[in-house]
Amino acid sequence: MVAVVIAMIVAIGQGHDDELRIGVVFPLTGDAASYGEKGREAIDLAVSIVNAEGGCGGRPVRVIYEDSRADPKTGVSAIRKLISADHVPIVIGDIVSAVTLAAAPIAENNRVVLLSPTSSSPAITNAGHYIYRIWPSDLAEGRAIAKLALSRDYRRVSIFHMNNDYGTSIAQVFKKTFEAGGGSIPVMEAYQAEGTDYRSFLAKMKMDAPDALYIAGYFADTATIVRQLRELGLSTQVLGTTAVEDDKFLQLAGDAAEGVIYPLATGFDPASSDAQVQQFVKKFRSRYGHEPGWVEAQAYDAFMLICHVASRLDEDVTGEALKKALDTMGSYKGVAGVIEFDENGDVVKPVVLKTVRNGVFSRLAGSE
Amino acid sequence: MEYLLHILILIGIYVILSVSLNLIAGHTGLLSIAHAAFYGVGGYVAALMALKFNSPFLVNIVCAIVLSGLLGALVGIPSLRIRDDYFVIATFAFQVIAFSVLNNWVSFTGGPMGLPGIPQPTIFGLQVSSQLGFLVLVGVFCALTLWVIHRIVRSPFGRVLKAIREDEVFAQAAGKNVAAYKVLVFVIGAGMAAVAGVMYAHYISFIDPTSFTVMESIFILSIVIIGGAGSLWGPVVGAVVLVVLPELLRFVGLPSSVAANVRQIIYGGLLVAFMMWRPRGFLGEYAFQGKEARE
Amino acid sequence: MNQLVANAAISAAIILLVGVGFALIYRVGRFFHFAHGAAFTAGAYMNLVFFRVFGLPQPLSATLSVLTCIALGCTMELAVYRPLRKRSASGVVQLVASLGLYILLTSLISLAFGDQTESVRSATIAKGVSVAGARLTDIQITIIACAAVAASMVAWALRYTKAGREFRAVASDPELAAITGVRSDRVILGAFAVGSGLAGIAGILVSLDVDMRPTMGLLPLLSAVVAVLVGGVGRVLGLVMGAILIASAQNVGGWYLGQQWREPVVFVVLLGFLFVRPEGVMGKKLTKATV
Repeated sequence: MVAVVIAMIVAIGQGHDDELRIGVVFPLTGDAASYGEKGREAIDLAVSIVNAEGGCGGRPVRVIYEDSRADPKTGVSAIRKLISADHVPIVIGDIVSAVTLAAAPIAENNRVVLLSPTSSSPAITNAGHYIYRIWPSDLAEGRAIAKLALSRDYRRVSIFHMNNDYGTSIAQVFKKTFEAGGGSIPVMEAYQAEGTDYRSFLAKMKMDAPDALYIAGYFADTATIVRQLRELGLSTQVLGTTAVEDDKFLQLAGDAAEGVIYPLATGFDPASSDAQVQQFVKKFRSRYGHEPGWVEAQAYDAFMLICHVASRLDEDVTGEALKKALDTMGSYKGVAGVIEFDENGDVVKPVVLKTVRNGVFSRLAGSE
Repeated sequence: MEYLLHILILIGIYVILSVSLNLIAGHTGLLSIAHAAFYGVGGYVAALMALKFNSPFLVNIVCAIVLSGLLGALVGIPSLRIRDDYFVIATFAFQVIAFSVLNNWVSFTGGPMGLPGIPQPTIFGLQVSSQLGFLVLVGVFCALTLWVIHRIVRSPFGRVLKAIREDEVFAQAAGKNVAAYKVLVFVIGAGMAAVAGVMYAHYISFIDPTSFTVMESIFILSIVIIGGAGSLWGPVVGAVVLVVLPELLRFVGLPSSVAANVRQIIYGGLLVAFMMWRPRGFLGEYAFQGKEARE
Repeated sequence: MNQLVANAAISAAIILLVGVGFALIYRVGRFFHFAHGAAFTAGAYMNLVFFRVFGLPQPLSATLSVLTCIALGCTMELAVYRPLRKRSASGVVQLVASLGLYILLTSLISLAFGDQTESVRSATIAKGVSVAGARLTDIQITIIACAAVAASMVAWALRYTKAGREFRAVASDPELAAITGVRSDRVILGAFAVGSGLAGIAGILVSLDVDMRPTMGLLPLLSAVVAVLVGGVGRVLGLVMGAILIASAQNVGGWYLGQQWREPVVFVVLLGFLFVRPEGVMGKKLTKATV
């Protein structure tokens, strides 16, 4: 134990001047671990590409990962450790909004840039001047799918959402937009993240026979819900969230995945003919043997964006310098679309509507 | 430096939690898995008051203690009828219900979205904004808690608690109102846990229900057990060990995805090992044995 | 409405499968074996290993998994609980040790398989068959049948076999049982074997119905604990009633209050029982304090 404490103190003291240190706070274990692992794969890839080319503007890059377990307190410990022990000027993270929100005041007070690749909570818009994200707020996604429901003349849509910050806030956006457009919500209920028995909700929903069911959650629970829905013999149209687009969803939901409609709130399209996207997909595939998804693309963009602005800095890379560079960079084209920050550090990206057709994620016909 | 201060602050918060649980579990022998509920109620009361009424810190802390203390009485009452492992389950039930209310009462507590932007506390016109300030604040409350517990345990009141723990029937026969003592102990313990909750809410500036789960209750209980139930300094040692251990794992070079599981494995293993070979913990004087088993 | 009854029946069956084992262990071991939930989870994951990784046929894979669970249960008894009992450790000490074991084992599973959802199901959706206006899939019918068979067999064995008589002797008075030549250690080990095997079966069946995660064992375990307490620890019939009551409370509560209240409702029922009738629906009166 003593040895480790000494190692800890030594670790706090050291650091190379020419090196660019980037902290990453991702949920590497716990409920959202699968997202954190995807993000890490993408960042590892990005680091190896950048360092092979001589670093960001001549500075070699070192990434220090910390696990947040998708838990705010652990996330706060992690970012404090990165800031005070590793002296990073920039932290990429977190995937989930609760941790980003908890970490935001610490980044703000220490003038360290916090860049989230995927946090979607509307509260992040006003979380601080040093807080950026390259994912549009839930508002965009919730509105897009509600508008689709209205455009298809659905009058009654029931909502089943995960009882966490993502599911709850996006369900509320959907409800507001859908009701404002003249639709009604017969049943709206939340489910616990660790539950697996959704049958009584589905039986209850069946009695109202809604035009569609909006499931606002992550891919694993959405998969179980659609399966149970189909097992009950119901053919209700299912609307999902961006989180649905995951190969694991197709595996878990099986045939029940077919026909689920969801909005994709990132501009990432692996089938795009864009050279930058193709190169990313190719390198990712050759390194890991599987296809990258939107989490990977967002994390890759987050890293490359930082590298892009850091390489244009002549002075030392500090939090202040990075913030100034981000505010004045104009637009940057990543693999998941064009990034251009507004005055709150938010981005606006076009929302694409997609569906599962013949077991493949495809663009929804007529939504181009 | 800031990171070390952060860990010290966390230790302080857990010292308050575990010392207060120790009064209930270690000194009086009522094993409870509801401590995170009191902790959470304290945090939420302070956060909601600060956010909605912008009320002063000291008012928040008093309200948190009172409300949590009342809930403590509610949990203490079953201990009059139910004992031992049945009582553990009853506190467990209370913990689950309390978490669900925090999580599901969205319009009031913000539900799973939590409450962001809790302001920094101001005491007598002095704003606590730096980490050092927080450490001093937590340290003061920590010392206060320890001092109060020390006084309670040494007083005639404390001797009755010990009598209840060692032999309840005897305490009753000696004319002590065991029921009142048990409920009072819960009120005091819950009120102190609320103080920790207030500190946590103001310090992290964001709270959500996931910080106050059953697992958190078990964690606080583990601090008491591993540190040593029934001794003043046992829980302090426990808090230092169990808070620092996972942080050290950040430095030993394990991949982070493995580190969290290793941490859980060590922590589960410690619980089993201490129960098997040293049920008194590092410094404890009470090993959760009933009267007949010790004979 | 019929679907509601069917849903409650599925929940009750799972609770019963987990609860029978928990109650058996509680009656002779006299402590709350929380790590029972880990045996449940282990069943599902061992099946994943045998079925997916080794590619064994499902019946063989399931059998091997149940055997592994039995071994796991017996190991816990031999390595942890028996030494504690020899030292006359109290029920509370054993409860804390079992919490530690639960955390230890689920973390090991999570270390080996990760925290994400895993599945052994096929892509084809088995649309449920219609039973009296409700739809049940094959696997759900199997769950209900298994629970009914397991509960009846345990009830029968307790009443009519030698092992059952020995079990009841140890359950009612271990010292007296020891005098009459019943070896309580063997009986307790038997309870762990049967109980962990049943938990393993439950875990496998549940994973075939709704997939698996390392944390999947906690909720069924807690529901089962409540069912055991509410039904009274004495008899299998009481447990069946407890399981039905808890499953109904979950499903009816979920129906009227919303899904997010399924779990707390169970614990409200428990607190009610502990206040009003701590001995359960069918149990014998608890002694208030022993001198």
